[in-house]
Amino acid sequence: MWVERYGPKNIKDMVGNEETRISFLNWLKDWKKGSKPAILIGPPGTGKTTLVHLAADELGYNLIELNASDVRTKDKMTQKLGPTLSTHSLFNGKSLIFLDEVDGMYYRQDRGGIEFVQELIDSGRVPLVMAANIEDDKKVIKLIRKSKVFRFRRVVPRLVELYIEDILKKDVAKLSKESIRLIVREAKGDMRAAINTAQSLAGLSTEELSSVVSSRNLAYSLKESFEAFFNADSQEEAYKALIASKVPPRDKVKIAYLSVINSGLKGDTLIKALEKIGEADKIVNMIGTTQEWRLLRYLDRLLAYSLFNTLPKGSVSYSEEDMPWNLKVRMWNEGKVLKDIGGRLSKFLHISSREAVSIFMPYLLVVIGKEKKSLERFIRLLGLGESALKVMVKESERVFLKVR
Amino acid sequence: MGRDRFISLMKAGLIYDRSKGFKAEADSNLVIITSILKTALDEDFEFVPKCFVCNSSVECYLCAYCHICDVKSSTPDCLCNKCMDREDTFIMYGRTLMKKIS
Ligand SMILES: Nc1ncnc2c1ncn2[C@@H]1O[C@H](COP(=O)(O)OP(=O)(O)OP(=O)(O)O)[C@@H](O)[C@H]1O
Ligand SMILES: [Mg+2]
Repeated sequence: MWVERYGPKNIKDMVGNEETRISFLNWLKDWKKGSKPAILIGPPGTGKTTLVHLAADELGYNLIELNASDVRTKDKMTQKLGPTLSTHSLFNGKSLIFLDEVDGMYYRQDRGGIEFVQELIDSGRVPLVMAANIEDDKKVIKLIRKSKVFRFRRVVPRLVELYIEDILKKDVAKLSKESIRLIVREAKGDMRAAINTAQSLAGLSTEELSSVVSSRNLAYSLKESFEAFFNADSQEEAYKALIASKVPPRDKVKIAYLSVINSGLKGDTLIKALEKIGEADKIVNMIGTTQEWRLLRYLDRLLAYSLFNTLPKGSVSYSEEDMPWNLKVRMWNEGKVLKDIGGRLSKFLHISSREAVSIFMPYLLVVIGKEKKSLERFIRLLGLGESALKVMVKESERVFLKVR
Repeated sequence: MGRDRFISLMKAGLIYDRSKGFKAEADSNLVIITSILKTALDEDFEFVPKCFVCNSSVECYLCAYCHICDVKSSTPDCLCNKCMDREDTFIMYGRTLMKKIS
């Protein structure tokens, strides 16, 4: 994606927020033990995360980062950050702790996370930097009181234009002045949005472009976004692909679901993927009832970090084809039954139910053989009934198809 | 203008310099400042962004984006027409920043 390939590689290559960039760099340069932490606050896509990374690079800091997708219980945080804080590591060069997106959703479900941050702040042993979009959240207000604040604003249109023009100079793509103006106007000071739109416009034919420009139908389409998501090489890339499309989160969950069920994923992989989509769906609903809309932006993170990891690369492609409802129900039930079987097996084998389904089940099925009677006996042994038998027969057929 | 208003302006982050007048910085709250000044002066006024490269005032009325640019919620520095038309604007812009860093 262009945001990665053509993102700033040096603080001087960023645009906008000049004073803030300079003063943040100076803050880090002048950092002494016991200095207050820094908090960067401002709208999305203005370069908060980018600046912290580049400043750390420039001054030779080793960056240890936690963002909204990391579970921030005290235990987890100690695990990740502990080694940095021990005196031992003081000999291994300097580290900087970066808590990105401190207004994120996991942050509020913390157990002891806030206290841990508090301890970090009080200890003042390594530079601590935080970033957030909003400042009217109670927890963020608390953090602001103890920190040096660096405020980000939207990037002015002319500087957005300057940056986009510069990318276009490097790349083969050419865009008319009119398209560039459109990109800048629609971005509203968000550099991430501007670069993403430029990339999607650059991929269009002249005709498509002129129809898009006249209809102003911009941003990544769901299709573009999910294709990039399923083919991403890393979580981070997957996340960037998802946030590039500006459709309602419910639609994203739906497409993730339809693509996965139409993909031909099997057994445990399918179950895991559906579980993750189920979680995302629950969160969308929860946000709907609590009306905390700003949390929706973390949904992309959740999908990218949890769902993406369950999918073998290239195993899923974009699909918006809805299945007949009876088939959907069947897949759903099979998933549940398999989990059930795994649960019972796990007690016999002293392993997790997931391992039972994904590792042991195929071998067991081969050993049991194709005979329906033996399968029946096996199911009865597990204390399960007719529906489990049906699923097992199917699984068995699959296994023998492969064995042959 | 009155003492109270002056204090509110300072609180909102406006800086007063005897020789140069008032100056707003990156973390000044321009929304509050605008509303105080509007009532104090009883007339409309505008913030004029400075060109980051040459420090001259930017002629917003000549800009292609003047209708959509929200000066109050954007970063205070911009580029003037002259600097915008140069071939090496991006390089000059980066260089200016480097000069201010060192
Ligand atoms: N000031 C900038 N100049 C040039 N490119 C930028 C700038 N800010 C952001 N970008 C581009 O947008 C991408 C995303 O930016 P970044 O993650 O730093 O934004 P952020 O302010 O942290 O946003 P969020 O609040 O959503 O976390 C970057 O990878 C880069 O390509
Ligand atoms: Mg960020």
